[in-house]
Amino acid sequence: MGQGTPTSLAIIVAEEFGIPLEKVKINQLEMVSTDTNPYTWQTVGSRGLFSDGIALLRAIEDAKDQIKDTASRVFKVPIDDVEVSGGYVFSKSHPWIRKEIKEFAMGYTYPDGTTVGSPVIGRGSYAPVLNTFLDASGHGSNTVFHTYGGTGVELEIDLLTGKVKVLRAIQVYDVGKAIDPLLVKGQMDGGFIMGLGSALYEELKFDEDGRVINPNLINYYVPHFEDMTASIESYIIETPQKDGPLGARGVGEHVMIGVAPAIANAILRATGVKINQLPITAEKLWKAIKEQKPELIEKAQKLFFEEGIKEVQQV
Amino acid sequence: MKTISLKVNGIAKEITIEDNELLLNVLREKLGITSVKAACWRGECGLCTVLLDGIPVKSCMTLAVEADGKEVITAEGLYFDEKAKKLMESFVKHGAMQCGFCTPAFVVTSHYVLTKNPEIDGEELKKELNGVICRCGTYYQIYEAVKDAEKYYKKETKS
Amino acid sequence: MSFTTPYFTLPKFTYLKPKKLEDALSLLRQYRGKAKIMAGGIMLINLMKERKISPEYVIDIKGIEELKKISKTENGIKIGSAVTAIELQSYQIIRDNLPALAKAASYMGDRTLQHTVTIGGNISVGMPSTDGLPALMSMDSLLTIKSLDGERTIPASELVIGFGRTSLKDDEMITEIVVPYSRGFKGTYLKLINASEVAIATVAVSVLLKEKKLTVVIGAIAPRPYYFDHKSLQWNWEASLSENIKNASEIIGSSVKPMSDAVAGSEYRKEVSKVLAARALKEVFGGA
Repeated sequence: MGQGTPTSLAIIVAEEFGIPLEKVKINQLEMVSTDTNPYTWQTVGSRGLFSDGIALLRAIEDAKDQIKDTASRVFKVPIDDVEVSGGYVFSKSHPWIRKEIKEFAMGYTYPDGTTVGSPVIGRGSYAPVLNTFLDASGHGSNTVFHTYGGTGVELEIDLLTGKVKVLRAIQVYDVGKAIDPLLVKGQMDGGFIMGLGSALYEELKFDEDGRVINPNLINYYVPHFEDMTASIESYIIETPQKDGPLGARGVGEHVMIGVAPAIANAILRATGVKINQLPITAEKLWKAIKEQKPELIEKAQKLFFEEGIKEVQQV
Repeated sequence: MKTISLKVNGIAKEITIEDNELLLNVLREKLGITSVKAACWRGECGLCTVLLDGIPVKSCMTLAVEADGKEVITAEGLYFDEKAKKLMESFVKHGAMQCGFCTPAFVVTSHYVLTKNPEIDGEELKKELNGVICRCGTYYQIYEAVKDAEKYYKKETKS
Repeated sequence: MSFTTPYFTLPKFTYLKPKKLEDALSLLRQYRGKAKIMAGGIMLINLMKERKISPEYVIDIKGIEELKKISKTENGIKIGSAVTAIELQSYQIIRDNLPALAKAASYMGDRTLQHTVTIGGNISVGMPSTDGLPALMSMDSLLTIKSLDGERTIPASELVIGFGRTSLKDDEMITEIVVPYSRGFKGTYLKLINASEVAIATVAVSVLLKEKKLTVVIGAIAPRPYYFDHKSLQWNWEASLSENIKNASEIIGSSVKPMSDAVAGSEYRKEVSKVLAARALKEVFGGA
């Protein structure tokens, strides 16, 4: 299950019913158990919140309909006149006729003990309707939403060793609606770190027999604390996704995609050296510079020996 | 088989162990302390970090017998420490966790760092926390959370 | 849930924790060939998990106080073999006198592990990635090795003889490291790493300059670091620094035979050895 999904789902429930967030409990184990729940339509492509959110909104609608049905009988008003929000069930035309939502949770009980209605269990499900497989030419509509955004980096290259140091990163993503902006920001910054790992460090290496020769976290290096850039700016844009839950669309993995191209393009722009293979290790970049722009290395060497040293006295 | 006595989160314990048992296994399986995560088993990810007599160690690289006569503190024990509790609240405030698997190790390590030096330089802080890996990449948020919690550790040292 | 498969567990052994050096040495003799010394234990525990070694006895030397001392004498600075990487970075006596060693210690694993990593353990694992050995070699350090039969002293450069192999006999242990300098010299330790400091280095360079004596040690490219001095580098004290550095880095480049592994290839390591050596030389001679 994605890492912001349960929290975001809880926020949706709290907002829809107008109840405090602490009152909402998302059972994460049940959520992913296909013994008791239907299969969530794929937590891939960062669509966990998208799919679960729409299913949840439908379940909330179903639950509200049951509450409205009971309440219309209790309030003695037409069902269309009943509204559930802000923690209350009330009549739209006579707003002073209202009761707390919790009074309808198990059906409504009159003071004399007689009851009307029944326990409320809302159900909702979702599967995308307009998706197609891709045809032979690679065309089709194989996703329910597209998240747009961009990544920019500022970096430093050590021409003599090929080592790249990313100094600054800026990311802008249109997430439709940030249900929890703190989580979205975390996903964006975290996505950048993951992108940085795949762009510069992470590579499984094999020997002639196909055995992995770097099966540990020292040789298969993933980003560590010190790899974080000195500055990162992540901006959220909100153009609602009309069919998304409260206008939201997925963002988790998308952020990672832009990092490697941004780094490769920054290298290209700074040096004119093209790299089309990840990860861009110092060794790989050094070799590429040597093949494509050897004059840069010569220039850097010249600078090192002539500019830096001439003033220095020997002991 | 031998019996060792140690203090775990303030409670004195006597446990019977084998010489070849790792502290990590003893904490998780014999004492049920599950904030200490078992992941790489090679001292590389840092998720099993605990404080042994106040010093952070990776419990997958520590023999249980080495803890004989010492005090072990894990994230569970830090909950009763006023400053550490503020630190944990700061983690929540800054969203310094995604899947949460590395959070106990980061809390334990940053509690040690802030106790040692509440005015730690930013670059030095990154170095201190470099022994724990967060695969979700929450480093920016953890950095903010720890920096923000510095004030609680400073106050205490002044009084 | 319990983990019984190798890799999550250690093979059976008996744990011994002597308080005195003599006791440790007699245990080493008594269980000759069947015992392993544990200081920080990082390499030992991982090798045991991988079942590459299965000693019957593990002798923990962390309880021996005299192995944890650092002192300054007329003959230089003496460092006990169980001094940790954190202590090397934090003790004023090391920071003031041997900054290159303090810097090398800051690369020994990550900061958490540095509380446990010891200098003796770091240099005797015989791995290319060790940081202590190049730093100590550039300072012409001597190692005091003891066994029940007595004591012998070897230059740090004679410790490692191959991948994972040292010249220590199975009843001997390193007790002390003597760095024969305490003042009047400049040193530096540079490392090229593809990522942050905890990753394995491509190349490490340690340089020492004392009056008209110069040493350059290239580490991380082979189990045994490469040692050069002003003679083997054909250093000409009359010529310009720029010419000297250029010449020295060419000599280094043509003498080293780096390994290729998961970290980097041989050709690249050779080239970067030249670059890093030149930078380190420039640094010790004060060129910005």
